[in-house]
Formats: sequence, C-alpha cells, structure tokens
Amino acid sequence: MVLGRNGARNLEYGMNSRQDHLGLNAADIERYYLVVVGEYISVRQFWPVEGWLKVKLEDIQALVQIVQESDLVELIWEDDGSRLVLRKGAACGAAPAEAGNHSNAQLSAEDWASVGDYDEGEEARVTIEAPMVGTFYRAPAPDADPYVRVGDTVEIGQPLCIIEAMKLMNEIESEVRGRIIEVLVENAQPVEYGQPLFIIERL
Amino acid sequence: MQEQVLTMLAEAGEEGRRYLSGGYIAKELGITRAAVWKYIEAIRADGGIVRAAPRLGYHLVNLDDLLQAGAVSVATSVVGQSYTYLPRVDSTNSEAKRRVRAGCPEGLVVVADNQKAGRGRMGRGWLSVPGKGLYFSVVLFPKHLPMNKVALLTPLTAVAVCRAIIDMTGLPVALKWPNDLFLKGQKVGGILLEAGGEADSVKYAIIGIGINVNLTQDDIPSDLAQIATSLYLSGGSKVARRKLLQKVLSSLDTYYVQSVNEGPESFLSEYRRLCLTLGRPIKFVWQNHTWSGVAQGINDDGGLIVKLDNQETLVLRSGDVHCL
Repeated sequence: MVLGRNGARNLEYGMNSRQDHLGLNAADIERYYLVVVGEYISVRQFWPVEGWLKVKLEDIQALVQIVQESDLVELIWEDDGSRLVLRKGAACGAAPAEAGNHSNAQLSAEDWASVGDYDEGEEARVTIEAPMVGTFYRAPAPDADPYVRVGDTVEIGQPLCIIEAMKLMNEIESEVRGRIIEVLVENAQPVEYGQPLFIIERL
Repeated sequence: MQEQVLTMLAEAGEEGRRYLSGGYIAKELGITRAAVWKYIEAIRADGGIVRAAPRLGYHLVNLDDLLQAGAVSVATSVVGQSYTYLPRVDSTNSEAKRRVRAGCPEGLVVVADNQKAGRGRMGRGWLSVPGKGLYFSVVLFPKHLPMNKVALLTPLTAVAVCRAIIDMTGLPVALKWPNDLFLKGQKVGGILLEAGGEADSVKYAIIGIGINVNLTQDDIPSDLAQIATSLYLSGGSKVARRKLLQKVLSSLDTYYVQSVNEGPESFLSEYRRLCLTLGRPIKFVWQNHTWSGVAQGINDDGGLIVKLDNQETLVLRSGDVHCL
C-alpha cells in the first residue's frame, strides 16, 4: 500500500508479490484496476495515465482469497477517509468491494491526483510482453539507433520497440518508468502474443 | 478567408459555372473586392491557376489538381473531419505523428503535394512526384480494436483505396498481400500504417497512403521502371487527383465505420476477392529461411494462410511475400 504524495485521502494499493504467494496466475485475470480515491471506488480497464490511483483487481482477488480461506467474516481496510470493505457472502467480480455509500462513483479530474512512489521491494521488475503477433524491431529503421539499450532509463510512454504485423508498424510504449535490465528478443525476429520482450526495473 | 474564396471557386467549378465575379465573391463573404483580389493572388501563390476575365470574373482552371483545404470536401463521419494541406513536408506520416503528439482530433487528414522523405516500410523511401501523385495520412483512434487486432487496419485500408480507384477509373487494381496496390503486374500504390500505445491499449493509428496517379515514364527512376507504374501510364488518361482523394477519403470512412459496427468480415471478404496473391505460388523469408508454398487464404486476422511445399500449413502475419 502506498499513500499518495498529495493528500492522504488518495491511496494506491498494489501487492504483486502476494499474488505469487497465493499462486494466482496473472494471465488468467483481466487487467482491470480498482480505483480508490477518498470515499470513491471504481473499477476500470487498464489505461495507465500517470497520476492515477489504481488497485489491481487481481490484488483485490488475492485479498478476497485471504478472507475466504480464513475465519474472517469481514475485512475493513480504512486509510484516512478511504475505505475498502470485503465481506463474506457479498458479490464478487466486477466490483468486489464497496466503499462507504459511494461505490462506483464517477471521479473528477482533480481526484486523479499524483501517486506516491512505489515501495521498495514491491514489484521491482516488470516484464513487457508482446501485445500482438508479428516481427520485433529494436529500431525504427535498419540503420537507426535502437529505441532502447540495456541500462537505458525509460519514461512512461517512451517507445521501446516496433512490432510489425501486415505492414502496420506498432510502436510499443513503456508502461513504467524504469531501467532496461534485459532485451529478450533479437532484432527482426518473429514474436508470439504474450512473449516476453523486455525486463524493466522500476525507478 | 482564402479557404472560403477557394471553396466558392471550387463549388462554381463543380456546378459547371466557369466564372465568378469579384463583386459576387465580395458580397457573399462580406469582404471588399480588393480583399478578394488579394486572396486570389494567395491562391495563385499556392499553385492555383486562376484566370481573370474582364466583366466575367475569376475562373479556377486547375481545380481537379488542387488539394488545398478549400478545394477538397467530403461528407464523412470520421475521416477528414480535420484537414491539413502542406505544399511539402518530410513525410505525411511523420507530420501526422507530430500532430498526434500535439493532440490532434480523430480523422485528421494530412495531405502533401511533395514529400522530401516519403517513407516506405522500415526506412525505405517512397517516390514522391509533386503535382502528380497523391500522398496523405489519416489519423484514427481505433478504441474498438485491441492491439492484437489493430493490424486489421491494413486490409481495411487496402480494400478502401482499391475500391475507390476501381469505382473512379475502372482500372483493374488488385492487392498484393498485405498492403501493395498493383495494376497489371506493377506497383501503383502503397500503404504504410503506424500505430502506438501500451500493451493493452491502442492510442492512435496513422494510415499513410501513396498513389502514383499521373506520373509519366520520365518521373519514374530507371531502377523502378520495371516494377512501378501509375494510373495514367497504365490507364492512358489523366486522373483528377482532387476527386480521387475525395473518393478515397469517403471510401475509407465508409469501410472504417462499417467495420466498427459489423466487424472485420465487412471488408475481409472484399479483400479476398481483390487479393492477387491468393492461389499463387509464393516464396518468403521467415526466421532466416526462405520458404516456398502456395497462398491459400486469408484468415480472420488478415494473415496469409500458406501451404508449404512440405504440405505443412502456416499463417503469415508479417514480412514480404514474392509471387513466383
């Protein structure tokens, strides 16, 4: 759990390491995020905009599993105005949580305040996977410099590579700010859907 | 205001009226006759040939070759909702990309008379001949497509461009998988698509289209003479660039909107009909080996189904194929 820098009412909840302990398969879970801002909570599809507060649905599912496997009837997590309630027997799925009396409320632009840095040790490394079948290119042209090299620092939205399918050159952007640890595919090689391309260490 | 003056001259030309008087234009637009004259001069400076006849007024002679915003009009719902003409640019795709970064609206069309660095795939060049070709890019935000489906925009565009050319000229244009336009065995146009986004979300797609419209033999460098042609060289008569552009933009709009509502089958069946690669023996390079086989079909993702000489079947999603 990470508190937002600008106001404790905003909080981000991310627990990828627990996901591994619980043996959940990340690939089985759609990438939805549960957004918690103050008293409001909403579930939305993954669309990482810097500054959004987000809780991964898979993390909530991990929490649900903890509740299910325990003798707990209810788990209330409060944090300075934000409130996440998991109750046994309550509906679970698209919105497996409720918050105060304002579940699924719309969020205003001001609510998307900046998010705190990640805790150390929390999902330090991110694997970027191929979002489509195609040919992997490290540079925009054969004689151009590669988009990124091992050791480079990348920003959110910075192009990492191109995957070409049917003459559509698709520039894959980084979802995270971090350092390139490893490039897993050779230039001009075919890649399959979901094949790991890069390992990035969060900064 | 220059655009409005051009639009009036263009509409008059469309309606078959040869001349518009300076007084009429001035009255319609609420400007002085001196201002009208000033804008006529500006239109001339941009390449418009405007004839002025005493007591008759102004007549736009080369309307069908003008690609300026005031001359081009389309009734579409997405494509062409915003329009920019540039006399010259490095490449319309590069310009479109800069405008995407700056926050342009969906449907933006960037047209250039000349490209200084027209781009093909992976840094290859594209021959651009001012006044004789058609070079433009269209910006879309295809939110209905996940990234693993965005490449379907290639066959969609290919069909839209091909249909527009066939409907306007009657020339037997066909498609070579996945993105080339061929006329009687020679390349007459190409499509270069660029998209961007993160793993789960397509942010934008830029559709770049180049068509060799009125190029003559002298315009085509000798090393391309055997493989490239133009609508003029192959069909024998000049094609109005402006009308062709309008036709392609509305065709693209129609196929795009239809695909959003009805899915890819709305253009894939047409693509299969127009694809000259199907049924032919081909060879291609894949994973550092050259393979040969027969192109058998197009699957639902637009991939080319190939039966290899060793009787195995595979689906190609990228790379070049050569028809044997």
